[in-house]
Amino acid sequence: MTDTSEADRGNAGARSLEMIARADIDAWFVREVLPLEAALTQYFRHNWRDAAGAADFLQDVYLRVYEAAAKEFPISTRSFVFTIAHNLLVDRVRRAKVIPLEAVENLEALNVPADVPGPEAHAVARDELRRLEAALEKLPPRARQAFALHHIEGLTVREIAQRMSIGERGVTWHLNEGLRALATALYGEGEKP
Amino acid sequence: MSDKAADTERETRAGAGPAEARRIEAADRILARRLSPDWNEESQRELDAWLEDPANRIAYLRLDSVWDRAGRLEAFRPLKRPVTAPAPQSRRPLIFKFAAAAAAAAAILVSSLYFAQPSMRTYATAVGERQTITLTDGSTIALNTNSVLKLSANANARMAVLERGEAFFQIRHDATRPFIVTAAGHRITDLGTKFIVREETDALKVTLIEGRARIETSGTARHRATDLTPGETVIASAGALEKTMRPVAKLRNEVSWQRGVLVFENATLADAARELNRYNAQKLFIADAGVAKLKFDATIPTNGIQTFTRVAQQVFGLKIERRDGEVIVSR
Repeated sequence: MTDTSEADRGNAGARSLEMIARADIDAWFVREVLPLEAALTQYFRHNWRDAAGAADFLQDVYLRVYEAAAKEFPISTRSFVFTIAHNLLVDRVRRAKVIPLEAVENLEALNVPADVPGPEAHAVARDELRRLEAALEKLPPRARQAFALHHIEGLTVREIAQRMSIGERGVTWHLNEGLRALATALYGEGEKP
Repeated sequence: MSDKAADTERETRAGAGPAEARRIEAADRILARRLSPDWNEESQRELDAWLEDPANRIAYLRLDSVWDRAGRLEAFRPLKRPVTAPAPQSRRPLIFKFAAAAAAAAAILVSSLYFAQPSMRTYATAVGERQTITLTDGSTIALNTNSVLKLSANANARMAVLERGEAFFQIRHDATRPFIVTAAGHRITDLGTKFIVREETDALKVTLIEGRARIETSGTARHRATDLTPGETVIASAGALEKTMRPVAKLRNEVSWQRGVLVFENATLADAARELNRYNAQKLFIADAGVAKLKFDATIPTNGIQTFTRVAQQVFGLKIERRDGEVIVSR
């Protein structure tokens, strides 16, 4: 006796089902899409003259990937993501009109390696720590200090403010800076196993 | 930097392009949620509304996952490691620079911080809700209805405290950092496993689906421990550990709530009612002892009070009465 109609009908039921699905997409996005950021950034830089727009390009790719996955989960994340990236780039080239249309054909052939377990899948605790440490070293000094004081020494914002002799908003500003730079170091510049 | 200088600099910084501006806002919201001492339900609602926009959500997820991962840095916190610690890290120049600089002043503070609260994060579900928590090590924890779970980790262990309810753990094994669950005074140590922990009125039920795990009871004068093999359930009550064994294939039903359904096989109406009551504000009440013992097989949605009453009426010809949030079943 299977009855799912009741789960669909009840408003609360439907909402909680949708929440689960979204939590699954969120988890998938973090686990499988974000580790492709380095490869995506590289792909963008090879095919677009203005490397400064990488963040906007990534955001566009992620948005399309996320929205498409919300409708149907892809079988191969990697080729799914790169197909979307490729199409977006082709659109951009067409819209820019600066580049002759032939350039579209010259876009780096969509050469997507087969799905292999990414470095993430093999990550063990110690590799992750080494990677974090290396990423932390790339941060601007004040951001790095605020980050270390919080994450390593476990200080609160107020305590960090005292230690660094700045205001509390100064601390969150540095942490903000640090968090974004760390994301670029961890995802954007590639994670070597 | 003064607060004002920070604000001015923030304005210049935001001119970097739409994606960058969104990242800055996302980072601000993450910091507020994670660090603000007066974070409340209202702030959470406001954040949830902001996250409804997928573009915001993506920027948030990306940075929030980094903040989570940065939590691992806690491992560098200067404190004495046990002799069984794994091979030393190959190099940690930066971290040591910080540690050395801060060591003198922070030594006492750090150790007291560490022993007081290794920053627990709390997850809670309301009646009828469920939540899947994915950890950065690839482990997942599904939290069932009306449950509270706290998580924390340091260099030597990953720890979970089930304060209420039920959780299904699928743990990625890491010999250097065991996963330890505490619930109702008992401790479960995973050895690379899938297992369910469920708190009942006066006992704790632990079911192992895959792998190996060890359960220890503490709190009472006598310390007991037992190892679980797949298919085994241990019911731990004050002073006693009771084991039962079922075929692993049957255990799928134990986690069917993850799909939003409950599977009953040869269950009494009383059992089914008790189970459904965990998920619903409206409670089933079986008024007749004879009725309570009737047995049936069914798959019922976790919010399926109506399915249940339909079975009661159509299969068993019982009477249903609704009164003050209760559904009374009788002959």
